[in-house]
Amino acid sequence: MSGQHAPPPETGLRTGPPIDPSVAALGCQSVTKTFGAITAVDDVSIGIDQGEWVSIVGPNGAGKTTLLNVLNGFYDPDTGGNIYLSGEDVTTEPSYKRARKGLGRTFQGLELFEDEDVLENIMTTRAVKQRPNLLSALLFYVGGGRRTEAENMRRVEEILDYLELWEYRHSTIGSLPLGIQRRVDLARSLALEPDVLLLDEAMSGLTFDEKYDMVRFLADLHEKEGLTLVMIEHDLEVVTDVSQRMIVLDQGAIIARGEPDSVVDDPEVQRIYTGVE
Amino acid sequence: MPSGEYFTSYEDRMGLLRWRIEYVAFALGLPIPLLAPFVMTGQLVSVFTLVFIFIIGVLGLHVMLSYAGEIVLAQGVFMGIGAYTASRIINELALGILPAMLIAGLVTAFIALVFGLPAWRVKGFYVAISTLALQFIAIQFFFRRSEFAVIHGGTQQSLPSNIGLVTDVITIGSATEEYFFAFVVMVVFAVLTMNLSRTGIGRMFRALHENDLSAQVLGINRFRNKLMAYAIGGFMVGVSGALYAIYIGFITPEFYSIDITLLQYVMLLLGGMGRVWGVILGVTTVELLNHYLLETLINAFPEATALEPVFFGVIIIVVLIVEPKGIMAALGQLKEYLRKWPYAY
Repeated sequence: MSGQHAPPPETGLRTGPPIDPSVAALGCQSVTKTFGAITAVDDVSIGIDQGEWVSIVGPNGAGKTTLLNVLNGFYDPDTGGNIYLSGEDVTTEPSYKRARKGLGRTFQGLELFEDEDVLENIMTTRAVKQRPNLLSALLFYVGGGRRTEAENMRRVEEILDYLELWEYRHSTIGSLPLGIQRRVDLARSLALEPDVLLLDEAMSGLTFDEKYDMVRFLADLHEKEGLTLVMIEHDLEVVTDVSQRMIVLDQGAIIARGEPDSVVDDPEVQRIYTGVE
Repeated sequence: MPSGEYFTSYEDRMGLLRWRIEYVAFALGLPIPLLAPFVMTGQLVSVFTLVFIFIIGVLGLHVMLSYAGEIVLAQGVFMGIGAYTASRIINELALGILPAMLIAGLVTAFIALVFGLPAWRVKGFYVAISTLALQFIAIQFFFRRSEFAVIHGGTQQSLPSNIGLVTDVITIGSATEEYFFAFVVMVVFAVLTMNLSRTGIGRMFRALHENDLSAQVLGINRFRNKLMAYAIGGFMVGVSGALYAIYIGFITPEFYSIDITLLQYVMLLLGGMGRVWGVILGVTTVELLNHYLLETLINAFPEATALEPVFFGVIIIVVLIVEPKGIMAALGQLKEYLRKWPYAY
């Protein structure tokens, strides 16, 4: 795919003023990811400021999820690119370390722990936050394990209340509708208390009401908690309503970025979405 | 939640006993294993001692397989390592049962951890093969060779019939003493395993089992947790091996063949994976089935005792066809039926 698209102009909307990735809440510099002959992400540099809500959009196969996977360490970038989290170069760090440093993530395909109930799913990531000690876990009553678990459960119940999931706490994942599963996915990542949350099509497959609820929760998290959100989303109406900035990917490369209202009016963006020249 | 009962704190919600009915069941059930050896035949006391010892070993497998999702095919050799280590500690250093169990557990945990190292690069069946290799290398070669006697202490070893808990203090010798000692150790390990399950480490093990890719993205260190599961499971199996050696009073590599590994899988699957009570039920059922099947054949068809494994195998297959998730799942369905009775739903 690399090289098939025209290079963006040096100035103006198509390149925008990128925030220096090395000082951003989350950023990447010159990141490329190839799979054999396919270039899924092509020399991408982005910087997302603390407290921003940024949406990444683009047609299917544009490289959005791959970019997210590179940012959170699921994939290693090809040689030369760098990933930054809160100003720290985390390129060589595995995904679990990035998560512990405050990079949360939800999944397009959900990837919930299917055999567990809602409470256990969220308690699992809460456990990561607490870094449990083996001895205190084994001894439980005398080693502080009980106290830690009670604190975790208290916090998880707060998250369940916040996301209006209380009635589902003992439901197994498979028995829940998609809208609730997406909310559980969000709850699970919130239990880690992330600074930056990557949302991979968190509203995909949801009804209008479910989307509305999800946007309401995310807007609350963004405004009241100051959470930095990076969202992949196909629904341009939602994107333009909630995002402060928008990045458009096509064939692995950034073709536009900036304020949503300006970006959606860009002829190149309209072309890739409508196919009309 | 039973009607009229409420949790008033998060701590209450995490208890091993949570409902009034559980407290009543515990109070009524506890005296049974404590009084049983005084009313059972000596043979049955021995069978239950063996049940307790195997429960500890299968709990180790339970941690590695049911929690962490690692197929381990070296239960036999892990028990053997525990047995040979304990034998040396008891025979040569005379430190007693408790230090022997502890050191046997630690040595086995270390070996299990080393053979779990391939989990860094591969998973599932490929790691299982590395443990299977250990099973054959150790049992078919290492423990049978006198050249390695300096390490294992001799291919065949005997243990004294009376051994102190620590050095020669409080000796364990009679069948009843062995029964109570094995029971206490089993209860300790069962509670430790339940504790592991209801805390963060158990949850992280299960998360890796269910979906290791998303677990890692959510902050779980796959390699470290897998190795921890190997070490914890290995420790338990090593302790079980040490107790098995003390129980039989003699060790030889034949006792620790792949057969014991497969038997422990049968115990785990029959009881039902994922629950400590499943392990307890599975081991008890298999050992009692073996015992009564053999006794029946000896009484009814003394010339056909060699067919015992055939009958045993058929019964296990039938049970698993009827309820593939094991006895615990069947009991769960029965409980649900009784809860709704006399209504259908």
